[in-house]
Amino acid sequence: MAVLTGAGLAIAGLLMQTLFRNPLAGPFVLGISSGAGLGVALVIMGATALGIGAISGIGIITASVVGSLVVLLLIIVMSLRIKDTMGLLIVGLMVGSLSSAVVGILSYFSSSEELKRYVFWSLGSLGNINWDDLLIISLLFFVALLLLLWIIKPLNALLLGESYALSLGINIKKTRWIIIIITSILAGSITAFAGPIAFIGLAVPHLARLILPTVNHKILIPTAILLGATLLLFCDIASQLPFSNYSLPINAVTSILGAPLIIWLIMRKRNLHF
Amino acid sequence: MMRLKNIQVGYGHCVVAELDGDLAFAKAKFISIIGTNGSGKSTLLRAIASGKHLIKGNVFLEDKNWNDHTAQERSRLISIVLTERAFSYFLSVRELLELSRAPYTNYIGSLARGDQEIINEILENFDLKKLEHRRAGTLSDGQLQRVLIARAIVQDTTYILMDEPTSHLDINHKADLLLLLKEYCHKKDKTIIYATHEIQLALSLCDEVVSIHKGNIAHRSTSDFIKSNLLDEIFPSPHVDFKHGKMEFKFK
Repeated sequence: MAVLTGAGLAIAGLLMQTLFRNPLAGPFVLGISSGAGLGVALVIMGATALGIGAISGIGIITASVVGSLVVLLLIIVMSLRIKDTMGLLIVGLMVGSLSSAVVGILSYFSSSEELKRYVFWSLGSLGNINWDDLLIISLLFFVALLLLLWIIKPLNALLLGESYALSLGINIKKTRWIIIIITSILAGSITAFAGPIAFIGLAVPHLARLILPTVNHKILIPTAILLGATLLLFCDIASQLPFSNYSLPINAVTSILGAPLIIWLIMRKRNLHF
Repeated sequence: MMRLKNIQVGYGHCVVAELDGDLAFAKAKFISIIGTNGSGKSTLLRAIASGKHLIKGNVFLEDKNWNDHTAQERSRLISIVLTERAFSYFLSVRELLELSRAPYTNYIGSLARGDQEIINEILENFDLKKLEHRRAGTLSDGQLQRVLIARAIVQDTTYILMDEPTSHLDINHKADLLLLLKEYCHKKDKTIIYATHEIQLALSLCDEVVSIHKGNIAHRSTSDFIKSNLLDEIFPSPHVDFKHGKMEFKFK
């Protein structure tokens, strides 16, 4: 599970950074994870309010994928109007806080049982997953990889900027849609099961660019997958707190490791590129 | 042949420049677009290249309407050099050129040996061999400008549009580069249309001139353009004098 989660989030982050031409883009920063969180919150805490009863499994995945898709679409629509990528990040941030506000209101009105379930989900966990869930995620991951293969060339062309990509005959609209679909599938399904895991999506592509001599997606994507998988596996092992019976929430571990990593990267390179 | 017919270019509904009638660019021509700041030189180039900013009228490429070509056909007919630099600064010079072979590569973008040979030749011609593996972010403005021009040449299109290709270059490099491009046009049967503020260089090197003045697009041979005395009208200043195409500054 850690392997799939790490790899998936790394791909999602990489795609966002290439699409938005922004080194700070990532499923967490752009509010996509928060969107997924809102979707899950609505399902977990809103369901009983509507009298549907407890929902699990597929319901949570669907809510999470739909949530991330909605946020991503919102951000794409904004990005067509806002040319400034900085503005886009602020929008992402706002969407994030908006989602958490709605989640806050929902939790105020929900029962302690539901609240507990949501809080545990939001702390992130790679453990509470059965084989059926893993099968679903693997399947979605496979679909995303197939789609990815289709857009390797357009992704590389996008590195030249949209105007040049367009003049090279690349169908930008189609590419953008495929990127949105892949990111929503990956970030949505992973967030549904493992909770919103921070920093992997943002940091891994930068690590990959740092160790590689190229930004060609043919090499960058496999590297990001390997790095993401390894890094999250490492975080997972660290979170189990060796020699004790306790385990930390995975989200805390990735943040504790990820935040200094990003700061170190910026200090070292002085500036980040996409 | 590229033909423009009754076109209006601009933003939204705001027309910046228009062409009344027909205008055709033949093959193997080195053409400059001359006009003051904000006259619509870049807008015209972008309209031809991307179809954006074209409010009215038609652009024909090889007797076929712009819209009737597929995106891939267009990408083999028109390339462009822009002033914006929105590309990844992580790309190496060679990668930047490799990506520009996209119109000819397969679905995953693998380069054939022929592609590599073209890139090597152009790296050589543009004196970029030494910079081949440098990342774009580490180059100077002038070097980057040469790379972007080489990028358009690598795309190997019939028409090459350039927006101020000689900005950021030293005067000697400007002259060398423009001459190189002119020779390239004539030798390989390509047409280069470039917007410029370097009037003197344009008048001495170009076969034809497109002028944009008071929103009107006009097209003449360079000698006719010099005879028309439009220069004094386009660039009125008591300190600049154009005599038979020779530009002179007058300061007391």
